[in-house]
Amino acid sequence: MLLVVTYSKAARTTLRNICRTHDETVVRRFGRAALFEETELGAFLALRLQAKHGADVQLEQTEPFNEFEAVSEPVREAANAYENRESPSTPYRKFASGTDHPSPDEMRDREL
Amino acid sequence: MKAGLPDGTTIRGRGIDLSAFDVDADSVVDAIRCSTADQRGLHIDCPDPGPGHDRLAVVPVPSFSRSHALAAVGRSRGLTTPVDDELDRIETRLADIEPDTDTDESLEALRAARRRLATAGADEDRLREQVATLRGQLNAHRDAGDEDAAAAVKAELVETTTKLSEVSTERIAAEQRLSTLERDARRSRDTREERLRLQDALDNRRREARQYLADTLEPEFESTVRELRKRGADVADSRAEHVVPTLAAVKLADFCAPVVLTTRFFTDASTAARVLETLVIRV
Repeated sequence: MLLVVTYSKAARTTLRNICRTHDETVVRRFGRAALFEETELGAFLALRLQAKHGADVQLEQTEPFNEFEAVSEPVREAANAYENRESPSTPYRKFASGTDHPSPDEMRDREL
Repeated sequence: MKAGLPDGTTIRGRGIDLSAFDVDADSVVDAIRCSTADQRGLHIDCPDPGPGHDRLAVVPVPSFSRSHALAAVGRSRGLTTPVDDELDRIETRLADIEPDTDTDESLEALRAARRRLATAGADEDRLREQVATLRGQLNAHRDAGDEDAAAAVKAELVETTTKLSEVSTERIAAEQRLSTLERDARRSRDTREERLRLQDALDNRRREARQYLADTLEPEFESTVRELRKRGADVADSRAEHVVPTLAAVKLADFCAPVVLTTRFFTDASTAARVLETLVIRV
């Protein structure tokens, strides 16, 4: 999908108007940002917004997240194990230490 | 106050009627705000308009909002609100945020970098496919024992591989350039985001300030509206939209500069000035 984020009042207002008139192309709206369908019309609306408001409009292309493709097994397991922990007040750092689970520092520097 | 007209006429008084002259409300307001004569020679000699005057300078106002009008009254009287300190703080912080510089240039640089990367990427894909095809042909010729054909394909393969490596280098350079520019753009977006947050906060505090002033002045305003309605019961203009509420706000306001009346609510300019307790210019 196309992620459209606005950074000024004027750009936000134009985005709101686009969302109102192009319901079928707007997948989701969050305040001053929105997700557009990945169609030529979605791209057209996004580019028009940027042509009008310049750097007050950020455009990104998103893709569905597949954790089995993008994320290594230890990270997936750690997430599940931590959510099923017995003591809810244990912070993750402490939970992971002395186990095979990756530490926050290890994960921070490894890109997907 | 003193009004100097383009034809050289000078009129003095607390209520001045300019309806016989060819001047409109907007140029009179401009003349009130400006200390020198305008292009046509219109000059209004009067004290500077203080706070709130801009919103009530012409009666009737094109679009009347009770909270805006009463806020203007409050500001003209020097009233303060509980959110004034925060308003000041937000305004100072907004002023400290540097204005956008070379926005168009950085946007254009980003666009150029994306185009360069797209071109290099497409070239690289095309050449990679060519190399694979040539390798296949080379193997096929060798298997068939056709040495001449194999040598020709090999020469082409060497040339294409060299080109591929050049294009790959270009693609990597384009990627690095784009990621540098994107990092800068992210930083500039942080600033924009902060500015937008402050502007929204400013709007909200201003709304609260207006509401506070409107609530404070409401009883006084209502009784002035009643008084003026009684006075103007027989006047056609009193039924025009917003005339009475705007006049009531002007009467309550503490303006040093004159207001401009286009309405015929009062019999003449000096009556208007007396009732409204304000300098008045009628056009």
